Amino acid sequence: MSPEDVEEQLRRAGRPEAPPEHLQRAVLNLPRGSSPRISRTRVVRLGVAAALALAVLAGVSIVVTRGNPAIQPVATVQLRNAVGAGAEVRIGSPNGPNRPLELSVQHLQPGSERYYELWSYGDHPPMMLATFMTSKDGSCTIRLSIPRTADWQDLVITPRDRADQPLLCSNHGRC
Amino acid sequence: MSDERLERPIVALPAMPGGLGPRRLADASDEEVLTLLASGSELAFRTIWQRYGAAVFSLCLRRLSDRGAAEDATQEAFTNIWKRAATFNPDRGSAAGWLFAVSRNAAAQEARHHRRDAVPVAVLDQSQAADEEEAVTRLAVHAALTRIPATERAVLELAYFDDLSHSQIADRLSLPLGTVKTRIRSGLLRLQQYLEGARP
Repeated sequence: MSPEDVEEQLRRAGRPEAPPEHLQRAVLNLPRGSSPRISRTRVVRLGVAAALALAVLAGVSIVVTRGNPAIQPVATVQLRNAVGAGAEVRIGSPNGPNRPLELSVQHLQPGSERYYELWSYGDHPPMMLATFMTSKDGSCTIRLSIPRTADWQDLVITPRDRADQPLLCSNHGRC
Repeated sequence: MSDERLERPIVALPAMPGGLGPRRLADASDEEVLTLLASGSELAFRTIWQRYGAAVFSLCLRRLSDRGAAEDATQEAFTNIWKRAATFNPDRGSAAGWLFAVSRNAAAQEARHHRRDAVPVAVLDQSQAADEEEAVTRLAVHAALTRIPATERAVLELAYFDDLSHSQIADRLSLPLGTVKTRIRSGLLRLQQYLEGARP
């Protein structure tokens, strides 16, 4: 194959169409056992229903969240970086095949509302545990379940889709 | 999609199946990534999406002429890629060829679902076979483009997709003409390397 062949193939290929962001999110969630594909019509209907339900439940959720005690941690893991941001992960006791986990993040890139990912680098290959978003002050608290056998000591927070760019790490050598 | 991500180590993987060892996943060939994907690696799946997401979506869009249907077909294709990566056999063809077949079938299924004209799948005459071959090449070219540095990809896209002259590209990107020529040359060489690696 000559460079001229490559030029010809490029011309014939034409510019690829960029997939929309929501498709990327849907596809990248497939390995995590997301539900089977739902038709777009159904998605619209579900979206409307979900929006209505959210509007109704908004006030209730605040009350529930305030009233819901934090998990009883059996271990706590601190994540830090060099510029003062931090996170704490509270690990709960196993409940069946999974265990609860609560993540609190502070001062993570304040001023922007971004997506982040929580990874367990102690698992091989590394396992993404959660995708989350912070408020504008760079903080958030989320609760989730992870497999009881998942490693929770070597945790890393990265920007979404940037698994090579650790922002906060429990193993400080990584950040 | 940023290619900076592909330029850097995605993550250190000390013991990767398929003999990849601690290499950067971004440097692995499509065949190696598919082999790793067959073992259930999410990072391998993301890498295949980074390389082939736009290519598969473009293929589906070209075949279905409907963005919504193309989105559904793309999602179906990647569902099958995730579930059936173990059926890929590098001795029987290239990764691009296998990914094309999966994507073509997903598009055909979507077309049938919408009662559009089904895409020919089983028996191909000579012209159809040529079309299929060109489609595989297109898929491989689009995937290879995601693997070269953004600086080189930008000038190649302007030169070959937008048909701009080197001088026009230099003006557009505020770059010296020599830099544009260098990036085009090195970008073509890199593409050539990836495409030769992708040939059956």
